[in-house]
Amino acid sequence: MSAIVGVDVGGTFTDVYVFEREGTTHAAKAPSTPDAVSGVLAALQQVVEPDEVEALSFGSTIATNALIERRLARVGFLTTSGFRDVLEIRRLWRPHLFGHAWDRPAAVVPRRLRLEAAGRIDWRGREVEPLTEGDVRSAAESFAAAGVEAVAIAFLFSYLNPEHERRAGQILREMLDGVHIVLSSDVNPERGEYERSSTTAIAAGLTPVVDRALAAVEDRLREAGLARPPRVMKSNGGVMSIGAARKRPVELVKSGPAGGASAGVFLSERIGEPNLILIDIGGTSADASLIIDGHPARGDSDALEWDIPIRVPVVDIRSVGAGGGSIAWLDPAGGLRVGPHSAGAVPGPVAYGAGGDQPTVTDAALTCGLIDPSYFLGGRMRLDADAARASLGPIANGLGFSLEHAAASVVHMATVEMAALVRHITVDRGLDPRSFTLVAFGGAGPLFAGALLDELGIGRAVIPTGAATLSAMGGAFADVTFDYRRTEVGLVHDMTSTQMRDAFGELLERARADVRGEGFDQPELRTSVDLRYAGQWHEIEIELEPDGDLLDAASRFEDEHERLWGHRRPEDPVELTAVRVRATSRVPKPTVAEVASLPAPAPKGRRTITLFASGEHDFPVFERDRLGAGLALAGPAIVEEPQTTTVIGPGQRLEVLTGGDLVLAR
Amino acid sequence: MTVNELHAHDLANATTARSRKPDVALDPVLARVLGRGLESICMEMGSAMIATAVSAVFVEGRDFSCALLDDRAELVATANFDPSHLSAMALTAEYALIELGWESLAEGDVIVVNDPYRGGGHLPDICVIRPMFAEGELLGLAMNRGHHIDVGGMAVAGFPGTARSIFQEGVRIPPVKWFEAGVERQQVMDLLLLNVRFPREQLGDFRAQLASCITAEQRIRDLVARHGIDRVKVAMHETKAYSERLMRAAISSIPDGRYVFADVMDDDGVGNGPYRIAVELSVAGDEVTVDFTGTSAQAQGPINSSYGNTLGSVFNAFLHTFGAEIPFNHGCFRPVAVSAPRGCFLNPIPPAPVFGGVTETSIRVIDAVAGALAQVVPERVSAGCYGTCINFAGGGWDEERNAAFGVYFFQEGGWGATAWRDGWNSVPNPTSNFNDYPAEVVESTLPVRCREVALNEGSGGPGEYRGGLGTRRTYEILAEHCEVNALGDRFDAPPFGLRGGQPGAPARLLLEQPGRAPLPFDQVFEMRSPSKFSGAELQRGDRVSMITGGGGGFGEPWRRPPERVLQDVREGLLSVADARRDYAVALEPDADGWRLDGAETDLLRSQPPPAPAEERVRDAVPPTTPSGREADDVQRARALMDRVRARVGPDPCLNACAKRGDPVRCPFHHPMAASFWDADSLERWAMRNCQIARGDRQQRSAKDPART
Repeated sequence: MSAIVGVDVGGTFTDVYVFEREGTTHAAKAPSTPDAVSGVLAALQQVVEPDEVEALSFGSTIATNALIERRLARVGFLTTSGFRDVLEIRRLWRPHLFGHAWDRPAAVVPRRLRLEAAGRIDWRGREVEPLTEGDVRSAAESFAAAGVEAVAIAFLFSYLNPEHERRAGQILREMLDGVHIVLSSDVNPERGEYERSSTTAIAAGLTPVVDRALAAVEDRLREAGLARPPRVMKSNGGVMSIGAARKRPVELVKSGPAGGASAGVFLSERIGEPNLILIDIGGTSADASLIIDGHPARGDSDALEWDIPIRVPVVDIRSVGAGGGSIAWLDPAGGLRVGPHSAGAVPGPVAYGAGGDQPTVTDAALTCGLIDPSYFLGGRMRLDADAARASLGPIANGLGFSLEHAAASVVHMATVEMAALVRHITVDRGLDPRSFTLVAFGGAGPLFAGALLDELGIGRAVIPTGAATLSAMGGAFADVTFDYRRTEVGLVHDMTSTQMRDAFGELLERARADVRGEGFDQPELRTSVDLRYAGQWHEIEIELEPDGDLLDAASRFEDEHERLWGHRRPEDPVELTAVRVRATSRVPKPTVAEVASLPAPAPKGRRTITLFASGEHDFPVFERDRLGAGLALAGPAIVEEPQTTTVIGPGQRLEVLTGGDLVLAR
Repeated sequence: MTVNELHAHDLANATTARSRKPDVALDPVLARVLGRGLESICMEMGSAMIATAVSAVFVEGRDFSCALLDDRAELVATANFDPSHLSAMALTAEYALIELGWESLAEGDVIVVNDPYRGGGHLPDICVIRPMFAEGELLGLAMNRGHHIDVGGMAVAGFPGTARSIFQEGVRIPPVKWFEAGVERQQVMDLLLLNVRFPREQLGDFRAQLASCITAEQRIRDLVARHGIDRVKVAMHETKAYSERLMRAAISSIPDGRYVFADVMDDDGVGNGPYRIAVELSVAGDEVTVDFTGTSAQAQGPINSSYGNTLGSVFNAFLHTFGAEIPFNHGCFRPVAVSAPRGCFLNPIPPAPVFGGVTETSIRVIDAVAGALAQVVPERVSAGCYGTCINFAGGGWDEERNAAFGVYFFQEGGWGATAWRDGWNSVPNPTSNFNDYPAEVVESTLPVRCREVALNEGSGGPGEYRGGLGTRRTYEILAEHCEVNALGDRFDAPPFGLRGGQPGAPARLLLEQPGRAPLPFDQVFEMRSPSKFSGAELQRGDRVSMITGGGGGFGEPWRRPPERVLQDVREGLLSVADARRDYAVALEPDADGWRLDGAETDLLRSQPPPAPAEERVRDAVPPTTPSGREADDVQRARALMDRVRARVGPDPCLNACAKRGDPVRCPFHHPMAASFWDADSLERWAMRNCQIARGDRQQRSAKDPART
């Protein structure tokens, strides 16, 4: 019993990353299966016996797919009189300013199953009209007749006073045997009735589905010999036990991609860089997220579809449709465009010879020389370079460029799309991307790392060991982490220390209970408050001990506001909007073997590569596993490994760290 | 040399004070890369604004836009969070710089302006403009425009439905410098803040607007540092050319021809109406002319649409129909000509009130243009939308919080159906895009209780594809009393259907006083309009329902599959009686509610459909020519324009005048100034800046001393 295992169940493949106690690592891959667990076992058994596994954490798309495909349980929705259509009306706004080419997504619960009960709590949490229990009972009868599997209850202001919700829940439990009852005051005790209702309805719809699926996973892994129940990646970048996950399915919606962020945290410690931009570039999209001060940057909400939010803490991951399979095209004004359409894995780029006939970024990378057609996936897949070249003909003609320059232009345009994504995710938080180190991973990440440095003005990029399967690795490093947030509104100079202690106290109590449930004693607790100038709509999170000085936090808020947004507002009071608690219990981390230092390698070959900005260059080509720790290389150069290719541009330098990670600098 | 020849000459030498003409070439890919960079700067301006603004209308209402303009005040890139600002922004900047003079611009200047008669839309949309300098050279302008919660005038939080002049609508701000060379002129802001009702919040919003402009200047300097100033300048030029090519390609996809449509506004709030919008679209190759001749004369009440607003609405319709992906900038303007006669309600003469032009008339212009396009490309448009914001604003004293309060509500509703799907339910109209205010936020900050947020059942226009449904929102007043104003429309003439589709339901605004039935406001108070009023006094316990209509249907209702009609009935969106009347679908009760009565439905549908109901046509206000003060204004402006233009030429203009006959510096050379500048502004500008005009005046006063 010595292996620590991370698993990423992706849409096409299931990746497994195994760390043995002595530091050796193994990666394996198997096709994903509909039940998820067969694919996991198939991959796992290639590299380790299940009874050797000490801990296994996996990122799973079970909840995400159930949502996207709307395979939710039949849900009844009960709300305050007058508000049943809130789930349909939502927050209104259109995703695109112009045009009619948009299908407004259907509401999560159809109108027939959205029912109401009279009774009102006001904005201070006081009951102003009692709950009409007769309404609740007749709703229960309708739900029973409709055969619902779960009921979501969301009353106005229940985040301040949950009494009506609890009473209604009690009545429904009595009347509806075997039906999951989910209260919004439990799932998401925060202000904003639509987001809370949506989150609760989705939680109700997911609970039976995820519960069944994860129970099967747990059983199958146990039968296969796994001694301990697995853990599941959470949207917040942490993990929780599979038992907890079955009860908290809304916390799993970003379970898959959150693995990358978790690996980013570990990488941040390993290389001593607290602030990272993570960019995961695959076949159809590029996904970006941030590590700030060693922690994944989080948002408070994710969206199932346009304007259907799930308000739970999630790693803030944003995507753009630019990856290796993205299709390049010329618009009617002769403008070169890349994406958002993708050739995907099937038929894939023209060079795959599987029927693709539209030029993709991969075809362009091949044509300008960045990729070696005979060494794709370590030579296991032959690429048709001539077909790729030919496919770029119309674009080259349209632009009046040579084929190579047109190809380099396509690669550059994809780089620009990715750079715009990185700018959005940093600038929206008031941060300058140049103050970060870039981490590039995924199959195509290392190909673009150097170009992204130039485009964004960033100084350093890291290509981590195992860059192509980083998300799977993340599970092995993730700590058990719970986040709690509670609406608490007031001007800071009006809040008493008792109010603050009470506000934190309730969350801390929940945190300790949840952590005990995971088998840990003393979690690390991080407490903080959301502050803003009174009247503003966006908050800044400031750390604060439960018995700390709120006025001091307010003064730190003003510093931060000035740092991020360039000004203070001396005449405006500071307002508290929420208190937060994060509980983390550390799990044992695998050790990573250091790479040896090796004599400077000779290039395994050379090739001519055309770059967008500076034209043709002669690039020496090196094999990654021949690069020892401490080695430095000056660009232009190429480093190849079976899964990916790293490009070191002219004027850039590459260094190999003792952990095997590559550092690219301008 | 004629004005046109001078204009051509100017374009060939297109640079302004302290800016050089760059001399580099850009390949098309780098040009596009830099163009994307400029667009992303506008998005970053928006992020800075949202992160720091105070008003709900900025942040949740998204009622602002950001833009970069070049050194000729031509739009280069925009981030339209709110489409109503579209092209009026460009006119505002041009006008501001003609008035202030390009020579007066210094690094660190910040200009504030809101005048609808200087390219704006309505008074609450206040623009902040900051010149962007890099390496000591003027690169262009960063600009944003945001809706302020109050601008003084007769109505708390704006939207006086009965204003009879712009002076009742609030404070008019000509282009003034708030900062001069980086130094704040606090008196300017003091003057503004003294004239608005919520100075603390609004100062916060001004700061957010400033932060946004500073962000743009910093980012453009980053771009210059990386690519060099000349390349950035050429990229600005190329970005416009790129959009122009896309716009021309899109226009070319519409068959040549002349397409006519008309729609109406109910009334002007002070007893006149309906007002007719007559539009004729002439498509020829890759260019289009839009002519509003035949449109009703300007209104006494606040439904007039400023010239800039009318222009923006036309482009809005075009982008909806054929240009959703085109980056919006000056290049889009080039293949399009818009003419609206001076003195019609789409190009009014000051001091006509214009508050509702942006939120109400604008939607009708968009729908009218779409209606014209529907005749040739029906598959690209939607039927008429709910067509109003039902702006509902007001304020008073909040006893519970011991504070003054002001509020501005605006409403979503049903969109028209298209040739392939039902209309959207409860979505903001095409002239805006916003989030709603959650009931829990409204109740936590205002003395009101939300009673209902519900679909307006049965409001979708019948059709093979049904119009989307409107929304019903009901608020109960908890303050002892408060004062409210409204500015809506589409309460009478409903949204049109297309290709046999029927109209959607109109909007309503109802007041339910304790113990009484809900009634339209004009039946409770002395008012001339159910949708437009000012200063209505409400008491604690009163309930106001804002009910928006549904969109028009598309295609004949009898072609709608009976199963879909049944589904609408089961979901409670349509009554059984309406299913029978509007769709010829018969239903019978069953355990699950209702099921189809196939035989009866077949029988109903075998009858010929009823002839469409005769539209009740009221006589619209005629397109009379202006009279009295308006006529005098038009004549004075035209006469001055004609007299000066008769004498412009190389000698007085190019050689002797500091403005050098440049259209971005001189209104007499500006191609559009004659379309909308009023006489007072033109005369004042001319006396300050134009030798020809001064000479002309001396000659005339010598002849007729009474005219001085």
